[in-house]
Amino acid sequence: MASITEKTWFDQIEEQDNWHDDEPFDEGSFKAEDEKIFVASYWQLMWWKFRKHRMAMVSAVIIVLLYLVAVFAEFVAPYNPDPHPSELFVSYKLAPPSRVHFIDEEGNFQRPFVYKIAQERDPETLRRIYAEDTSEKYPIRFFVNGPEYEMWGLFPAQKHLFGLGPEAGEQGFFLLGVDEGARDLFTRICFGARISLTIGLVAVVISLILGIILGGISGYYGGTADNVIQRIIEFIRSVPEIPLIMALAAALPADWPVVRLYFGITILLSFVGWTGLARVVRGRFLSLREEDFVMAARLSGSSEMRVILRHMLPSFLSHIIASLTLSIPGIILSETGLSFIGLGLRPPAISWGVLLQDAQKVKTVALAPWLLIPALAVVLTVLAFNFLGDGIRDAADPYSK
Amino acid sequence: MAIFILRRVLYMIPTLIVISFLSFVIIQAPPGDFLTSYAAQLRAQGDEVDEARLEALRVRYGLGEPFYKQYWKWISGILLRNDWGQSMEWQKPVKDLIWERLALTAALSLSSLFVSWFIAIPIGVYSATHQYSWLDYLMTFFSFVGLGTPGFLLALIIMYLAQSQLGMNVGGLFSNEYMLAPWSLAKFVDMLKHIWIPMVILAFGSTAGNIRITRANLLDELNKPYVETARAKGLRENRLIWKYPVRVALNPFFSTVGWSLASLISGTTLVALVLSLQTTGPMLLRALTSQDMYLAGSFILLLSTLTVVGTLISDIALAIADPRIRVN
Amino acid sequence: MKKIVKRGQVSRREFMRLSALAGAGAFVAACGGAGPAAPAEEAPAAAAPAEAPAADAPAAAPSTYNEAPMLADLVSAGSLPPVDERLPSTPMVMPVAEMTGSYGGTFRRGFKGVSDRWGPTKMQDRGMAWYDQDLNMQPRIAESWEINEDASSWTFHMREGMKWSDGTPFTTESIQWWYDNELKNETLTPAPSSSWTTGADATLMELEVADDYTFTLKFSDPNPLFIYKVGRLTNALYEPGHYMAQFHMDLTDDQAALEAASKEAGFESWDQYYTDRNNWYLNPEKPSVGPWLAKNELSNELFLMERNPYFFAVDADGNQLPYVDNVEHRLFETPDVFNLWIINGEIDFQNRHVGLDSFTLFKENEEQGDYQVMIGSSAGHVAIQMNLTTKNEPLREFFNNRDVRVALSLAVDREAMNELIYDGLLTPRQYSPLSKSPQFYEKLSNAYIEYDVDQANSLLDGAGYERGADGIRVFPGTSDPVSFVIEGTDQPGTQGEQAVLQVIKYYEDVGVKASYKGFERSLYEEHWGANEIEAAWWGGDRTVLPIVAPWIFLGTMIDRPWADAWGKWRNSGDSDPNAEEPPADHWIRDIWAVWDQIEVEPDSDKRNELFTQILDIWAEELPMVGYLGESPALIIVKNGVHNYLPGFPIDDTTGDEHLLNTETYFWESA
Repeated sequence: MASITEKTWFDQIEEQDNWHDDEPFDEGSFKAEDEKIFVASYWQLMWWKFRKHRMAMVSAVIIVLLYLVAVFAEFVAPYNPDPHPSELFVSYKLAPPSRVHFIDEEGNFQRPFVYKIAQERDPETLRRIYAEDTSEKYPIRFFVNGPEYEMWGLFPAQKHLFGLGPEAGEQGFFLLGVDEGARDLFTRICFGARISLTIGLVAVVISLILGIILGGISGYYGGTADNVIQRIIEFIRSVPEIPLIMALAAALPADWPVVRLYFGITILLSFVGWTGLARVVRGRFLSLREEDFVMAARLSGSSEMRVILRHMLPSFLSHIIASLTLSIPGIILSETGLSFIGLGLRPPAISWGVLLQDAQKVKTVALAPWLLIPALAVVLTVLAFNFLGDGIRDAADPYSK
Repeated sequence: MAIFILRRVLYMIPTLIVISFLSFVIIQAPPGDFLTSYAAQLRAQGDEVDEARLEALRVRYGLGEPFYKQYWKWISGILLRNDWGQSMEWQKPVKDLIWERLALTAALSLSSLFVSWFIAIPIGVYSATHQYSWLDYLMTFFSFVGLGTPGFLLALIIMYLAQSQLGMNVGGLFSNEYMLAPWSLAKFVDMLKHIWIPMVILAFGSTAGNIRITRANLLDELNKPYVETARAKGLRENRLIWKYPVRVALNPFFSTVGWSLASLISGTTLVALVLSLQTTGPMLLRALTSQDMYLAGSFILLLSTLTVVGTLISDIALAIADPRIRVN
Repeated sequence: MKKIVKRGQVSRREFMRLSALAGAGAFVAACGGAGPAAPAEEAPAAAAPAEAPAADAPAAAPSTYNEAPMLADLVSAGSLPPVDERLPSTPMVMPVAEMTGSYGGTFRRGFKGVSDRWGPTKMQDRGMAWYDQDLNMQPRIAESWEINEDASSWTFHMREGMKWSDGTPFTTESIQWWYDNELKNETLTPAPSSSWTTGADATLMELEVADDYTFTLKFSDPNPLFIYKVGRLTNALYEPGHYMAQFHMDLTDDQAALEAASKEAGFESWDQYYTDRNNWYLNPEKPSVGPWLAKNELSNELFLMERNPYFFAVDADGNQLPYVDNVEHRLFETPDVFNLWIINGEIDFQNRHVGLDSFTLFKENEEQGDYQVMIGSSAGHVAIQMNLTTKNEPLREFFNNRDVRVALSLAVDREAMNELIYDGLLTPRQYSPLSKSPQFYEKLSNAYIEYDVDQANSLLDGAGYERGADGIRVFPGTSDPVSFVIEGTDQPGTQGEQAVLQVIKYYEDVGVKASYKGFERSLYEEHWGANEIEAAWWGGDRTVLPIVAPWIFLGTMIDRPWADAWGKWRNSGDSDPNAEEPPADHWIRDIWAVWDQIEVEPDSDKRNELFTQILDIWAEELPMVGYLGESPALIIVKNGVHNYLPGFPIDDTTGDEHLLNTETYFWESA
């Protein structure tokens, strides 16, 4: 399990970079291609370069979509993620993903629809067997009325992006199947995205603040401050992560409600994670400190603060953004890993880690493999963030070839 | 050079002292002590443990003593007598328990590390020399999938497939009949039948990262003037790349291996847990949850020390490779 | 040589039971067929054709008894005395459930480490007496026993010629040695177990040895239930003094050497070393009297047990037991690996760690794995314990209101929950003795188990807890919502956790707010110790023989907190800072008063009668609210393994799946 126990690959790259840092700007490799380039701003250049990385562009779109799903989960999901027992799909417990049909039994092409599903029980093994009853079909509609919800807990609504509509009655449309608790898995993945996608962002922001402040001090001032901070970093990194997290998790009060626990765990993850960023920042500061333009700014009487904020920070911001983007997947994976060893979130909270932990059983793999779909959501997200970060990283040095 | 090393070694000493102290704090942090967990286990399994008996045991194990006394008892035993204490759960000396599993763990980790680099280097080189080609994208794609798949889930799925499709005995590294047998060809074959699962999973997870590292370093290297020069001199492309840039690009790797010393031991915890591998990871995790103080504490101390020593080795290696660092 | 054994009766019965379970509500029908008494008559009939093992006996030495081929080889090689000399003059004749077996083979099982030693020990630890199929105690190590009129004096007669596994005679000396050197040694036994004491001041029993084979234990008070405390003995009542003396500081010849040895083994004092050496599963050299002997240490990945050539029991045909040569326990970390072993046919006989939630998985792979899933009944229940002594005062008042407890019982749709989470395999009922228990009491098991939200609401209204603006009830005279935390040790993804999350939603329907927190068991115990638990999700077992294990019904069971502070008071008086005396007129005092009579009542019918009084109080007061019970327990039995029958209760008290004597289980074609 790479995320909780090992340094991520980009950490290692960054750390190596720190040693033989930033080759001096190489005039020779700079070919005149277009006059536009000479006058373009740094950010513009970066954007042009980024656009060339096709996978990064695709990933950016995917990430935006994922966050949209998370933000509008109530609307995108057709059902309630954790409904009252009387609203559960008890007669569809562990039903596989509904098959969407376009052609009816007479061979006519139709708008997408599902057939009625009937459940049977194997009397010996008690396995639930689902069969389509082709005598009844339900068209899939968009912008239908479904179970009521409160959007962001603020205003009541009942429109959903898609569904079968109220006329379908008991019958449901299960895009990704039904889980053991007789709940629609797609719905739960949408709501799980809320926690899983934000936990990475929040943790990264906290790490960033810690990393920039401490890494900045360390890199800019050097000397004793650097030494002390380096020892602290070395120390935190040398303690194995699982015991460290366990000890910190034990410090979280047991009776915290889910939301607060979620923030507790986020802070905890960032506390463990900031050191890598701090090292990156330090490395950049170390090399930039010697650059001519910094020296020039200092000589022309700029205050320390102004030198740091106005001149140094912008020049490596893109690198930081790349590092951040690449840190997010690690944290998303850590969340699933923590849930797996019982230190993370627990139901009724819904996160991808919680869903995966539910699925981490032989019987799921054997009898209801669709419950492993949350893993695909995790992989997709990690993939997208990695490509995005890769693209930003490549683009961050727009003057290189 | 000697001064540099000496300075680094001296830096290490306070760090190690703090680490040993904190290892002890960490294992003491959760409420309760081993006996609470022990009693909990006994009760979970239907034994009656009355409070009077617990109190008596607590005194016997010295659990009621003040913190510093317990710490001193522990650390002085390790330093002065190589006595790491008794594991309360396994009822065996900690020393024996750790060493028993260390060899297996190191063998497994090293071999998967080797496999992973064996795959990663050629792919990484290809990716770097053919940046943004469709094969580069494909390989990048797969390596990111490897990065993004939770290893514990992958382990479960592969294990299930091995059982259901191949009817294999899964979990652990040996079948019952060979587990306690002395080494033989048959036992080795039996081990191969088991070890491929963890190897595949571990390699899948780490190859991805290694490909990225190779690719990134090589890309940096390829932009350097000496490559252009060599190319201009008419060196064949293949030879040109493998002879110098790849070597230089891998330099940092060899020096960072030091850091992985500790992760060789703890890095595979979750996968090992799912696969019931008798490596150190699951034992550490279990020691932590059951608050098996001496075992957990010794583990943390050992892992931390390995990281610190590993970092030192890396730094020295780097200093040899790159004289600029020594000046700093 | 291969015996063909038809198992028609067994599987038919099992099938009947299974289909009855699947059809909700029809549970009782299945019980009659699978009652514990039923299989007893079948044994002789089935045994008739099974004369084969007799042929294996060494023809050279005509003997009354037969032995396993592996031992016969040793005897003819001269390294083991003949079987007649190894067995006591009156060996125990152990009944078999199906038929006389044949020798050989290995049982493969799984375990989770040294702390999970219960699989091996429940097979191995043999006491003075053990249960028969009707759950009555029958002689085991003891040949017989008698008690005086008030059951305060117990005289046991041991088997003449019985031996330790190293061939040393097993006599009253082994008892005396234990009593003098272990029980009465304050270093080794700082606080004697309650098994050996009676009365409020925990007076220790006295031992009187009459001769080599007769001894008497005298108690200061009547102790009619004592026989149940010596059913399964681990390091108690008898010890191989001839072996253990070398580890005992007062008895060793060379104290300095012992001191050095215990230091060398990593212990701080000799008593720790002694305790370590005293466990048969950690010290294979220690002589034992159980059916198998340890061949290595339990801390190994594979724990091996091999037959004890001196085991004191035979079957009705005179074959020395056990039938099976070896038992292997293999270590696993997570249930997944274990489940895969099962469906791959690598587990031969086991109930422990076999989860009900994977029923379909096991059942579908029966053929491929060549095993059968047999069904017994588990003693566990799905229930909530509201802590009537919680430190939260308004909540304490709420829980102590009988109408509240009844309302929270009526508020839950048990049938729906059973169907949703347990595939309809359980039965709606209160926490109460199982239908197979001699103490089964329908009045309690069926009390308030219907789903009636209206009545639940009116009970809560009537109790003075009005609904607030958001629909959640408030404590009278305040605007504080009625809300509490339910603690438990059920892990995420388990059925137990799914069930409590459902129950919480049902509570919300009647305006009561609750949340669930799962804890590591040790943390849960901490909370229990400090009386910090508001309510616990802890069904509780011990419903097969509640008179033997009554603590849950008394509210005194450690870590089951429906009466946490009161239970502590009863157990340890005011010495526990969290103990609290119950109010003078409280019904819990009535329960205790009845129990005080039971504990000293020598007549078992009267004890049963008295216990019904306790159950009556329970039916009236619902101290703990049960939702589902009579859970099936799954026992994996490889095809070809015989003498285990389905339908028996699986409870700690009766040795789980080892109730029917594991030494009599055998491999058909081995």
